[in-house]
Amino acid sequence: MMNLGTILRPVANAGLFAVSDQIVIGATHHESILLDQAVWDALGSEGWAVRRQAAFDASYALIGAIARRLGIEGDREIIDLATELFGTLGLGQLRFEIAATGGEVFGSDLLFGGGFRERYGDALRVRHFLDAFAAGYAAAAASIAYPSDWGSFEAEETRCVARGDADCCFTLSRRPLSFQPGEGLAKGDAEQLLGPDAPPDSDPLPIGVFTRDLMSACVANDRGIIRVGDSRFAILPAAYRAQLTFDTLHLIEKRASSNRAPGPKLAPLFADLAREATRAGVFHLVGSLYDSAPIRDAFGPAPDDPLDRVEQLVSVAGALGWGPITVAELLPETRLVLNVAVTPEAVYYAARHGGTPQSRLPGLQGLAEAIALLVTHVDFTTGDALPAGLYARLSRETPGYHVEESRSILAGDRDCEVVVDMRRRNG
Amino acid sequence: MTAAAPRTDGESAMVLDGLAVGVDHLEAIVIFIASLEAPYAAWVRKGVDLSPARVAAGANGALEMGERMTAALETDARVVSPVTTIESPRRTSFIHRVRSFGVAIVFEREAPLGFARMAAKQIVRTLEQELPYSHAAPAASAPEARPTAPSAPPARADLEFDAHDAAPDTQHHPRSAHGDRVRILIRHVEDHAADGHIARTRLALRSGLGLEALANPDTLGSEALLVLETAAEDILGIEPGKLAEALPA
Repeated sequence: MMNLGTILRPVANAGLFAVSDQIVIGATHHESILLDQAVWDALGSEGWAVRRQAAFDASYALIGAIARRLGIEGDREIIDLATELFGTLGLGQLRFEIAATGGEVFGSDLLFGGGFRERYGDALRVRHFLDAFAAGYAAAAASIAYPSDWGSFEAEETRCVARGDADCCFTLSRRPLSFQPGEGLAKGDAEQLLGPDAPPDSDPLPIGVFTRDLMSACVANDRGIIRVGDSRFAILPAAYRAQLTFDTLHLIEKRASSNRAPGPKLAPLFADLAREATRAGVFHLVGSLYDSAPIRDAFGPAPDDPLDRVEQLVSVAGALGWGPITVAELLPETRLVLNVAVTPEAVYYAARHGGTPQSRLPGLQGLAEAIALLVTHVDFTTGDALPAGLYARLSRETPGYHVEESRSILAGDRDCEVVVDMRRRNG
Repeated sequence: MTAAAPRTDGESAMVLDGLAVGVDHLEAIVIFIASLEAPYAAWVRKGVDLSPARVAAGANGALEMGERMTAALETDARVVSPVTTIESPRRTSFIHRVRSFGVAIVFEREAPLGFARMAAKQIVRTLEQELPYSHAAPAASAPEARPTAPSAPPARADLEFDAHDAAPDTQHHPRSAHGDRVRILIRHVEDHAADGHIARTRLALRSGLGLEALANPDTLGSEALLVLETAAEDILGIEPGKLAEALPA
């Protein structure tokens, strides 16, 4: 496998990362599973189609962009590229047994199904299939490898480790093409949102540069697994998460507005769960990196001053693809204010749906809440700052700080700002 | 296939659009409570002149006849759920039973019979996962499809049953057996779900009832309780119908 640095490229002036021309973000199995679970809670069996379509669109754009850039055209070559890319990104292993008419794809150690087993053990079994991302990815790869103006491939998962099967299996068959495959989320979308007058990237803190180098040096093992601390780590197309989040949110809102009688407010519940997904992922990923031996060896013990500590923590988060976040204010145990020019979800929303006065940055909110938890409740001087079960305990004891978007580039502001009020609770 | 908004005679307890997407020649899906002929949920393709209530009434009779015929033909007493197929001049309809519900799936007559039968089976297979479980028939009243939330602000459900023996408060619903059952259920899910701190939000979203309803469980009826039990089973990952065994009496 290649290391991530071979394929990751910075997006100029945006502080984001791309593979080829597609914006990507570093993620763990925690938020990946929790966000998919929130979609399933919101949409039931329809959630599979929404997730798979988001994965198809994002993967079609990603694999297509790489294939074009490298001049890869043959069917087997494209399937080989897709197989190699999947593992390199830390998403697990796929094995294609397909031809132009369809076939099967076998998955092992997949981020979602395998990550589910890792997160919940054998105690929790689900009845639905979990690997919509792998299904959409496999269908997109097959559709590029065996193109047809009549139709694209669609994948159904027929075995899933999260349901108790020994492996994951997908059946691919060709369906009439009733939609235009999405364009994903390209670097150009970020450049367009920032405009020609965007200030150049400011230099990140040394710890941010170091984290970026650490991430670039990551190499998946032969099972397609990358680990950071106790978490599975992977690079995901940013378009997948954003499309999943906003398609679901819009569907709930549309149904609520078409009801004749006012119904329960379900959209905020989904937004809460989407924010919780990012909170869990950022807490584990940024916390583990910040507590890791390479960073401690390079920078010594974590600083005592909470402001210094929070600036280092957001610098680590920024290096994972969230953009150059700055700390506008920290009142310890009281209030945290973070600024960032754009995030991947903001770029996606602006490119696909335009501006909005509504709160539409659940990912950034979750990130800010996770940073507040890390700086307030985690003791990084102990040598084992994140023991197993810490997040669950903190979540029970400090359920949800109050988080608000006080500025958003989607609402016409010059940047995005979120405020975490640690004295108030959500709900 | 035309994706269309649900068009029912009353409120639909489930959104069925997702089941209909991509199914050619499909005209309607009507779920009804078998013992009552009452439509429970329905999707009718835009522009199709079908009344869910009339379809439910007709399908209920056909379901009963089909089951009687099967009982007369089959010696194996376990065979009780035949698929009744009606080929009328303009339409082909399939009537299935899913526990205490009937499901009528109506296609245009020109739909290839094999395709329509297969598509109907797939829809029913999904509904077997989605429809509430009940050992008895659903309550003999109009279904509480999507209970509207009370106007009171959301608050945590009061789980201390015995701590409130004061004079009745006329501003609130009186305590009900269903309400107590919901309180027990919420507490059980919060205690046993893998991510207990988001269990209440997940229950509220997955059931479609919202947080306000969970904070006021005495306003909920039997249909809502069934929906909540199904959501709880999904979240806890336990077998359908097994939640009752896990809950404290």
